[in-house]
Amino acid sequence: MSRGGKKGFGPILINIGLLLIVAALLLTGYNLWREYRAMESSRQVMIRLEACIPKKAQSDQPADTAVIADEPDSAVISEPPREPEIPDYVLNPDMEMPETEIDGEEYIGVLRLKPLGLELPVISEWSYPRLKLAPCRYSGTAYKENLIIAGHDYRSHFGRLKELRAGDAVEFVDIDGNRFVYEVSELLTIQPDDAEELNSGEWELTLFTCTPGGRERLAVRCRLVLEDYGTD
Amino acid sequence: MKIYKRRLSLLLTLIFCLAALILPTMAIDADRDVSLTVVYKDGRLPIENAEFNIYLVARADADGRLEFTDSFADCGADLGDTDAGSWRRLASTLKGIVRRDGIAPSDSTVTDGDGLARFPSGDFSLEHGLYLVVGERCVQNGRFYLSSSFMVMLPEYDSESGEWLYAVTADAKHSSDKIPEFPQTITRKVLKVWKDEGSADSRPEEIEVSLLCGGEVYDTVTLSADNNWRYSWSGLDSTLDWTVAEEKLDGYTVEVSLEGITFVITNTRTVPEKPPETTSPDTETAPPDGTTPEDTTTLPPDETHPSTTEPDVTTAPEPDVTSPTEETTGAPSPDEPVLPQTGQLWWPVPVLVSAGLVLIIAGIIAVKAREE
Repeated sequence: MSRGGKKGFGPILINIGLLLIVAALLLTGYNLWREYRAMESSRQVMIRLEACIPKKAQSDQPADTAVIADEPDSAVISEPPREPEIPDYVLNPDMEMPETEIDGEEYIGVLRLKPLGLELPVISEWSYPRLKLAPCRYSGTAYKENLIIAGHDYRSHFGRLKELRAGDAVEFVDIDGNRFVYEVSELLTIQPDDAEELNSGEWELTLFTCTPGGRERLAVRCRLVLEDYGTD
Repeated sequence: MKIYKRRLSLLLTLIFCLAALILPTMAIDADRDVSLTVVYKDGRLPIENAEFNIYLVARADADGRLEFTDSFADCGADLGDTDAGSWRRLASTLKGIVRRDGIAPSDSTVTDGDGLARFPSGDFSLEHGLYLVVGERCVQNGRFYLSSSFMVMLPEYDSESGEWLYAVTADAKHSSDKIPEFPQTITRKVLKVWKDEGSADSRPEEIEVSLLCGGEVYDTVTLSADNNWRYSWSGLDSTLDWTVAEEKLDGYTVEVSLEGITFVITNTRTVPEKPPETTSPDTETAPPDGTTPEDTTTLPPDETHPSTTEPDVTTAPEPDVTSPTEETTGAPSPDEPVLPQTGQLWWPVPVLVSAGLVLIIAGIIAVKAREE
């Protein structure tokens, strides 16, 4: 009789059980690694993205300064405010959202979830690989007031959307520095095959991610409360 | 008898009044000369020696119908609406075109000691039609003056009196400031707007736009989707006269307006030429009270009636260009309305742990049972 036969199936069951627990640990490690990568990716992009976006102080005084050759520094004259600078999206609401490229991906702006203490870059077009880097535009534009942003449920991305409450402030700043301030109106659960529901209601901003388990989608509906040129 | 006469008199008066309302208004007298006096003043102070040029953009026939002159036949501008705002934008558009193409003015003069520029400037007659009036930059008493271009119809229809005015007077609007001790700079932007619903694929991939300073090309840039059809010039001399013009674009009308510091160039897609049922697309008509053919009517700039000659544009729904395509982004199509899976794979973890623990416990129990 073999050795295994003497001990019966007990050791086999124990070994299989250990393998399953190891598999669970590996999967947990992989998820935590992806979570870390997502957080780092967004953080690195945010540093470079914020450097690209004009600040409000600059936007309020769009004039340049002129340095005259062979003149002393006193010759640097600021342009007096004459004509206002009207944001391009006001002149042409149908325009496509400006993008800036960082590490091969096109970004359209920054999403600020202040109650959650999050600032996230937003990629122009969504795909599964891109969702691992940052939240992505699902459809629409801020200018047409129909922007929908999808995000992975990493805690550093949209994993904490469920913590938002009606009345919370959400901001989106585009590449030109135009700031759109929204207020959370409601949170709702949408079935994954109900894209029509997601696009309904004429909401100025919608954020969505998966519910725990991934069987449904959590959507956060927001109303636009302020448009402002420039950033804080 | 007296009563009968009185009634007859009343009836004739009524018929006369109705006739006055129904009958066509007076046509333009082709034999009468027209004149234009431009008043150029800074408050009450006349602005002297300021050069003004006028360009005959479209000739008018006796009924006021307008037809582009040869110089402007291919300019791409649209005479369409004739409200004040449209004529202001038309003037802005044509100013860039005359400077880009170096079109010779129909007449030119400078303001006199009273700040008046009188056209015609010599012993000749001006043709009847629609004129573009362009004032050149001038300096006086340490200040610079930049005149706004404008359109004027000669003769001009006076909606109050219902008559054509052959001697027209127009105030030239302007901006003015002191010439700074040291040069100051401004920023000018250009933004292209496409009005081509359903025909976005027909757009050119790129188009050149020139920034003009006076009559000189200061810079030429290429606008395309890559730069969001916009550009910004900075460091421009604040005391100079800046305008823009784009290259001629077939199949589109062009309109330029300055909004804040941004030149907005709007290109509107024109439909393919229809069979010539009525008049040519470039032809417009004038009398404001409906005395001219139905199809084309040009109104004086102070009229606000919608023009009937506005070019049609295709009415197909605009594609949602902002929505990512399924191929590149995985966005759902109507046939596959599935929202993206944005969750991590966490659910197997507790399942694996639970199953593992159960198996281990079962294994230990089995081993102990075997030992006993």
